This record gives sequence, structure tokens and C-alpha cells, in this order.
Amino acid sequence: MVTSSPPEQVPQNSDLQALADTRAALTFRLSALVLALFLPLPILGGFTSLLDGVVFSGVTVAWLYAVAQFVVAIVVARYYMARAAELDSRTASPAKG
Amino acid sequence: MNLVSASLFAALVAVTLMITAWASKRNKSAADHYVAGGSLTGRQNGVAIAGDFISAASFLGVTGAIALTGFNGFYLAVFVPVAFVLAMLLIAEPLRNLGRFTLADVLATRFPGKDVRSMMAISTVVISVVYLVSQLVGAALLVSLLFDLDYAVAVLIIGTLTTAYTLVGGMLATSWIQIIKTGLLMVCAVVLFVLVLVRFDFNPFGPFSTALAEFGQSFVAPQRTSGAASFDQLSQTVGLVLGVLGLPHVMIRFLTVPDAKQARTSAYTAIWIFFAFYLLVPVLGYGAAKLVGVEVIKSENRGGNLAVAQLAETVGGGVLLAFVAAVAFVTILAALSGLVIATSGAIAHDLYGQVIRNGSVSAKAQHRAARVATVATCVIGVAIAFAAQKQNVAFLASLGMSIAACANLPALLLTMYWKRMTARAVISGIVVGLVLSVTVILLSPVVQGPDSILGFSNPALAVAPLSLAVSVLVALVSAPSGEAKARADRLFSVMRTRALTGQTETTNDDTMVAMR
Repeated sequence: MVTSSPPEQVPQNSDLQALADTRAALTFRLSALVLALFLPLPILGGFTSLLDGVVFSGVTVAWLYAVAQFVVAIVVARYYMARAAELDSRTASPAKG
Repeated sequence: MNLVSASLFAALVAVTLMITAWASKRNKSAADHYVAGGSLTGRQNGVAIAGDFISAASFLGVTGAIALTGFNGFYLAVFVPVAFVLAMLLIAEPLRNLGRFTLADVLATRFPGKDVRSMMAISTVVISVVYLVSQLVGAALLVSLLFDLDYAVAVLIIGTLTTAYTLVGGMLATSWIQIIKTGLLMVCAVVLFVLVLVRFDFNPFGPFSTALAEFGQSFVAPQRTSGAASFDQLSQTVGLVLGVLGLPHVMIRFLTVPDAKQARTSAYTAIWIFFAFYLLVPVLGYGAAKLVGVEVIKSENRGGNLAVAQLAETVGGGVLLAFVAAVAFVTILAALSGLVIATSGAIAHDLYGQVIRNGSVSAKAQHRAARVATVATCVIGVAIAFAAQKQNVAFLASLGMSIAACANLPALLLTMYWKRMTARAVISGIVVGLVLSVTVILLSPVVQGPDSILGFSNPALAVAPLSLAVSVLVALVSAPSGEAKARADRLFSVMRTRALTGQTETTNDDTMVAMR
């Protein structure tokens, strides 16, 4: 089915709004972090020579920085999964939250 | 086409048709057709999302771009994990919690009027059709090259198979074909990776050091030719990141899972697959530059789109070439199917069902409309592809991504997260994004050549902020007051809570009536 099942205990509006605030703040902070780590790559790569240096075996700073984006994405996604699961459990039982 | 190629090609097409026949037994309603009834698990959907994005453009294009231009080619890949982690954080869960079949459903939960839904549906159709045509033309050219077929025959074969998958099997068939294809593509990439490493004494950095020694430091570092070119590169990269978040055929995949948790798992799974796949690509690209030769790659195709096929033939002979060609073919079919589903949803569900028929359409009629729209989309796509054989279609893909970034994304984000957003602002932002994206691309070097008025071809960095600014300005000017403001605030609060928690606030007024 497309719809999600309702929780057994209906949370109060204020609990839900607080939860929404927490989740929004978390996603905005993490999004800003991801962009702050990513945008220097095309900016520094396109307008400066800071990423040109060879670190080892033909691998430049630019390549290491680029591959790091994948690692950052996985770490941030994993962290968010854990935090979101925690927030989900508060929706299921707001009294604990 | 030799016997091995023909056998592999036939076997893979047979597998996809068997999947379609299996899925047809479950394709009984509009929900099944558009979003596989929300029946996929997060992991299955994550693999399908990865398949949607690791298209022929990624597998063939990025590898070829690295083989010809070095590091700069990887800009076409490095945005992918960033885009999908942002999708996970900002779009996936609200979309899953608010949406039903299309992106317009999400906007309609806050702005239920026909004008907002119509505008988003039109934007979706424009994006999906230009994308569909660019993929279809590119695919037909590639298939005619790989299999030595006439262009028109290639278009007809691709169009017929895509129609069969989507019409008979719906989103379930499309998803499972993507899942199978992702697995095959990974096998292809790993086999090529190992065979390339054999030529470099199993040293994964061997292709890098060889590239440095043979082509110089500029081949392993970012290349800078002029300020305008660097701006264009930056605009392209930003446009790709933002564009993914507004691409209908990618975003509606988050509606194929049952809840927000599975939507998160989808994005997480996809990011892992991107990591595994794109780590192999630089080795394949530099390997092709060394083992095939830059000039040989260019002589076959100026854009390097056949570099993977040439590399496969060089390191694995005719059998590997046949396997790579067959997998590339299935890759193209799977990507096209997703685009057809997204387009048919905007036409049949949004424009016909909700706008023309005011939502009063029976379940049976909804399913029939979805199927009619599917056939219409395929026929129109094939017709345009016939006419566009000699055209430069690169601008179409760029246009689709740009409209997604400049029109759809501001509308989606501001609707979901900004209290003061208004329906008029949504429409204004989409119109500005659409019109300016088309204008910039028509005036750019990709259409006008080197003597164009503009020095760049990727509009996102210039147009997305303008679209956002216009949306904000119109929202501030058209802000409701009095009772209308109180009602709008209440509607936003209820929508936001549902979007971010999956739960519905209790309310005593008519807000919930509007939300439905």
C-alpha cells in the first residue's frame, strides 16, 4: 500500500510540530554541511591551481577531494538515517520525547 | 552484428520481456502503473534509483569524457552522491509523506488550485519529453552504431520495447528492469576494471601515473581554459546537483516505497552503489586513454561515447564488446521507461484526472488514462526522434536538467519549507525558470556556435537564483491577509507536519478538507 500506517497513540500537535522543527533544523544543517564541503571542488578546480598538485602516482589533490565527496555522502546519509530513526521512535511514542 | 552479439542482445531483451509479463499480472491500477503500488522495498528501490542515474550517459559518457579530457570528465560524476544525499535530506521523505503519483501532488497538498497543479504538470511534461527525446535520439544513434542498424529501425525497436515495458508492466516492470540492469552494469564495470588492471600489473593507480607521464599534469588535474569556460563548468556542476532534486522521473521513485523510512533506505542504498560504480570509472577512463588511444577514441566518436565499447574490445575481445553493447542497450531502454512513466503521470493523473475531470475519475478510468498517456508519450517521443536525427540534441538534456533545477526545485522547496510561499509565487517561479532556461540555452554556444551572444551554455547558476528571487518577491507581494492568512498559515503547518513527520495534526477547521 502507498499510505503509511497510523501509530497506536495519537501524538499532540505541539509534539508533532516540535518534531518537525527538529527534523527541519537537522536536514538544513546537514545540507549546508554537504554543500560547504562540495562547492569548493568546482570553484577551486575551475578558478585556482590549489587542487592541481600530485600527491602520489598521478593522483592529484583534486582526485582525492572528488572521491572524498562520496565518503562524505555516505557518512552524512548514515548519520541522518540513525537520527531519523530516533526521531521516528519519538513519533511512535511522544511521551518519551 | 555477429552471432554472439545477436544471442546476448536477444537473451537480455527476452529477460526484460519476461519481467514485463510477470509484472503485467500485478499492473491492475493507476497506483500500480505509476508507483508500483508502493510495493518496493527501500533496497530494491535504491538499486532502481542507481540504475536510473547510472544511465548510458554515465557509463559511456563519463568514461569517455575522462578518456578525452582527464579530471574534468569526472565533474559529470562527482555531483551524483551530493545530489542524492541532498535528495535524502530535503526531498525524499516529504515527497513520500505528501505525494501520491506525481510532483504536482506534493504542491497540491498546500495549493489545491488547478493552476499550480497544471503549471507543475506542464513543467514535468516539458522536462520529461525533452529528456526522452534526447535519450531516444542518442540511444538510436548509439544502437545503430553498435549493431550496424539503420537509425529509423533503431528508433522503432527502442520505441516499441519501451512502449511494451511501460504499457504492459508499468512501474513494477520498469523498476525490476532497472534492478537487473544495475546488476549487469556493475558486472560489466568490474570485469572491465579487472581486465584493465591486468594491463597495469594490478596497480589501481597505474592508469593515473601513466596518464600523468603520457599526457601531462593537466590530464590528472582540473583544466582551466578561460573564465567563461570555468563559469560554465561551475554552472553545469551546480545545475546537475540542483537538477537531480527536481527531475520528475528520478524523484517519483521515492513514491514506489511504502513509507519515509524506506525512502531513506532507497537514497542510502543508491549512494553506496554510486560509490562502488564511480570509483571504477576513472580507472576505465584513463585505461581507455592509454590502451585504446585518445585519437582512436575521437575518430570513432568525437564525444568519446564509444570509449567503453572500444576498451571492452581491446581488453576482452568481441565477446566482451557484445556484452557491453547489450547491457548499454538495456540501460537505455530502462531509462526511457522511467521517463515515459513520469510523463504519463503528469498527463493522465494531473492534467486529465485532476484538472480536466476535477478529480472525479473512477479507478478503472484512471488506469485507462494512464495507459493511453503512455502510448501517446511513446508515439510523440518516437515521432520527434525521427525528425531530430540530424539535430544536435545535447542541448535538450541540458535544457531538461536546467528546467528541473530552475523551475521545479524552487517551487518544491519553497512550498515544503517556507511559510510565506503563495500559489502565485509557485507559478511565477516555474514560468521564470522555464522561460529563462529556454532563452539562455537558445542563445548559448551549444545552439548558436562559438559566435553566440552568451559565453556559457549551462543556465543553472544564473537562472536558478533569479527564479528563486522572483518566487520570493511575488510571495511577499501577494501575501494574504486577515482570515485568508490565518487559513494559509494553518494549511502550511498541517502540510509541514505531515511532510516532516508522516503524521497528521488534529484540526477543527476545514484545513484537512483542503489537504485532501
